[in-house]
Amino acid sequence: MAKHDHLVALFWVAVSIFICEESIRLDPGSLSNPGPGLIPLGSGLLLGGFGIVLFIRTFRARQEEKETVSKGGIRWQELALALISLIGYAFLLDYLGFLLITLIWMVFICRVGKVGWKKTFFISAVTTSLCYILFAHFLDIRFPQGVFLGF
Amino acid sequence: MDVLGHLTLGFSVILQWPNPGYCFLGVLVGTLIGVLPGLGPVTTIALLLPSTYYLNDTSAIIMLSGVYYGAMYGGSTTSILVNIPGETSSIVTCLDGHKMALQGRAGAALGISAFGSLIGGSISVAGLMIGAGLLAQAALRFGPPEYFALVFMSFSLLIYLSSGSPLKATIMALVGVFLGTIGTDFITGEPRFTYGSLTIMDGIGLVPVIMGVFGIAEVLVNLEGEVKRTVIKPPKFKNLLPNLRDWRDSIAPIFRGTFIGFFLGLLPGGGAIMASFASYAVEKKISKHPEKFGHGAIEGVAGPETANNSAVAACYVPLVSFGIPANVVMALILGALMIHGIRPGPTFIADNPNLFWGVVASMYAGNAMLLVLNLPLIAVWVRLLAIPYSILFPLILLFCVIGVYTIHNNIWELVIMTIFGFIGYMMRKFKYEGAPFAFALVLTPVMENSLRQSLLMSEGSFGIFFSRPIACTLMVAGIILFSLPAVHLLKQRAFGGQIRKDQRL
Amino acid sequence: MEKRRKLGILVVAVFCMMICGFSFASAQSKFPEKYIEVVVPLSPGGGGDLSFIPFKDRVGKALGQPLVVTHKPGAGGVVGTTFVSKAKADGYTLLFANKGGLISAPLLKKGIGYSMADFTPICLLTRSPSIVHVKWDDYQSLQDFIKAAKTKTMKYATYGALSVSHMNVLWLEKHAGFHAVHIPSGGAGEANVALLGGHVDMTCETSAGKLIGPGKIRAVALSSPKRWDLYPDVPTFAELGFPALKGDPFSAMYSLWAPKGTPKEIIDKIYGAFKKVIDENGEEIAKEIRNAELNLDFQGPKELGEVAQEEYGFLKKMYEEMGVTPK
Repeated sequence: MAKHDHLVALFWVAVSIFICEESIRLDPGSLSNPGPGLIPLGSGLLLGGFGIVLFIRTFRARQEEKETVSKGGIRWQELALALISLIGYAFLLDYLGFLLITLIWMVFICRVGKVGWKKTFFISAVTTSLCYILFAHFLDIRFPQGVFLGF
Repeated sequence: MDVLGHLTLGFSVILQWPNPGYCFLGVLVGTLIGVLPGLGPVTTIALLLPSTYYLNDTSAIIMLSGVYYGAMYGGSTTSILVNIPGETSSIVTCLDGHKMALQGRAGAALGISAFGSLIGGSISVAGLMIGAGLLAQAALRFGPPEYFALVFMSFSLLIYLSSGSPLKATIMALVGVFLGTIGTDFITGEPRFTYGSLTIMDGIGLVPVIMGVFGIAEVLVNLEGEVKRTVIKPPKFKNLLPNLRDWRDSIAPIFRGTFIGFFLGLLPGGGAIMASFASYAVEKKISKHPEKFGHGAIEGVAGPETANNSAVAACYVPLVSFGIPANVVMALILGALMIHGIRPGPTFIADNPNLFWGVVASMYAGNAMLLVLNLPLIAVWVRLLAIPYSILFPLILLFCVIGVYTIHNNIWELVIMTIFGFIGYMMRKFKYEGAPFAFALVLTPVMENSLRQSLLMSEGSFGIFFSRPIACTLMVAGIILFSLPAVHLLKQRAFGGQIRKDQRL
Repeated sequence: MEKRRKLGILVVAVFCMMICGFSFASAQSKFPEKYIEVVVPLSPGGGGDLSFIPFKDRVGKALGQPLVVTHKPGAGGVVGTTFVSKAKADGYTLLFANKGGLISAPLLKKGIGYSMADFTPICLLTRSPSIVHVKWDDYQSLQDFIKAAKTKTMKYATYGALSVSHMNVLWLEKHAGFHAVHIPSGGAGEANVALLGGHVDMTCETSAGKLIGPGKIRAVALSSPKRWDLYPDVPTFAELGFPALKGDPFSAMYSLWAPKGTPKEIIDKIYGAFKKVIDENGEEIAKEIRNAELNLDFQGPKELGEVAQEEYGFLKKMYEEMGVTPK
């Protein structure tokens, strides 16, 4: 991934511009009378500064070094599936209720991890029930009851 | 002061049933939730608080305290085994602890962590016993300028938390600083960077972010390889406990960790997180072989784990001396006391000897129970590593999700966790480290508030940081620490030849 | 055939559920039929809990169903208050309001999804005065402090910026003609600790309790209209020559509300239960509340509504005078 380091550096610079902009809107005050925007502005400026330094260094370095072996490329498909499933879990939790959504999600995520179907169902069922018993009964945590099916 | 007599009283209290039972229950629950990522002592104690109404005050506090330091014991377990912090104060334990596990030394890591926690916990309780009054007086001298100076000094240690590129670590820290400013501005009451969201109006939650960056990201990264592989080969039996060499290397860090943890735990707003980070940085700084840190140096486990347990007992000092909670957990314990009609103040110890000394004795008992509980469990935990990752990772993810959700029952915190899971994943891919980020995120609110409060107090003059003795000392120390790496680098350039490649970026 | 039979069963099942649903709706006359959730918009263990706990079990007994406390902290009370504002107005979800969430927040923050009009008052429980503290050795009275404040710059700490305590000091400044520098502190008594450590000269907070005494902290003035038996020697602002105010707008007030639209019978029933508990156990409860250093001030729905409106108006005027706009 080292060969894209300079792009990441640019990303930091972009972020720092955003931070600085918003911080100025928040009224940084002055050094002796700090306002809400001072520390964010400071962090934004420094971030931009170091981002530029990083960009310069990595830009130069990438012409010198061969790419160091890192953990391979980014597997976008699995990454996206896992992340989307988590977001889906969050949003469907109130709607479907804890038991149902956890079961569905466990099955989904096991499949993303390429676990065989038999193991998937076994793990999902056992884990969901154990978690429910442990948390809902022993620790008395309120879990959402699904609007849909009511449990 | 008849400490021995009081201690005897305390032990007589703790030995009265049902107190031993509650002590055990507390440490057991604490260990369990410490192991589970996401779920922490804050959530658990908050959940248990209403039930303590039906207990007597001593049993209640004994149990809740047990949960607190039990969690500090348990937090190291997942950090070492699966590189996911069980507690935010166990983040640094991941750095070297997990590497040790990968080298087949999980047992040694877990063992030294348990023993260190026992030693740190016990010594700090002694400190609490003997010095509560005096220490509290000293802690009172810490006003905003002193806090700022302390945090300033801590920021200088930040660089030692990373084993890779210092430039990237600095960038991570700055991002952490920015994220630490999100929320309602303390001094003016204005919301900052919240864009109307109620969820982040109190700040971007520490737990969702940490669980995302360290938990979710870790799982995502591991999913890329062959999922069926076993993460770690189970060690041979003789590697189950720390050996003589490990002890020799760890004994000094353990003692240093005890003092660092105690000192930082004393200060309201300090606490276990800062203690563990600070201990790690200090150990790396004074080590004769700092390059080993981040690759399995046992000092990096012994020190921090001791520090975070040591901080627990110290947190009680402000509470029993003035009735001031040092952190969120203490605020809950204060709440438990108040529910029982006890309002802690300067005469708390004298007014409630049974309660105070009973709790003190229970801390010793609890620490001992935890050691007995955790040591055999090491063998169990280590076997868990043999479970194929394909089964482990859904469980880990699920626990992270549940852990985060149970804090506020807020699905948006799950979304935050997921977003930071993605960010954490990208961070790993591009070789940015999470520890400086986490440290900065935790420290920034304290830093900013104490800075602005100090400047308000001094009407704009920066001299306030140097006109007060404690603050001045800490500031100077911080300045020296900040300039050391630069001086070091200059020295190398002047005397040495090429700068090592990994130090360039 | 199979499919049609299944469909038939489904229709019957749905129909039965609907009937059950309707019968639930008409059950308000038998209120309460299950537990009542009281939402406390603060973290556990705070003043809200302490104001409510003496009532919890007793009122639960009087109503015949338990009262269950749920904490929903966040944004100074806004999170919990928002939650109840959206809850069903059937009497099973009540708000244990703090002033910050119910009254101050709509004035200070933009984008709050509710206002006081979205709630129906049930009863006022505690109203504890705001107290001015100084260091014991430094000043004997509020006048001493004000005199000193006119000559050199004093620092004071309160719970937070734009909090009710902060407004309290600003009000004092306006009428006594001094100015001091405000150092916002965290909650949970941090302000008083700063005072104890000598980092600030004065605080304005709710009770400092055990920190009061020689060599430590001295309470010099109260915001309530009459003296408080917890601090028998401490004068009120009115006694010291400040304008007398209706009620105690700077107090920490905890009261019970229901979502707007909750039927009057249910409100009356809940209030009735509280009143019964006060009538029967008034003294015990007063003692428990006093132990928590709070001030019992039981009032009914009409009075609570009036008090809340007055305080809202008062704070609104103060914020306007200061030029504070919702952000």
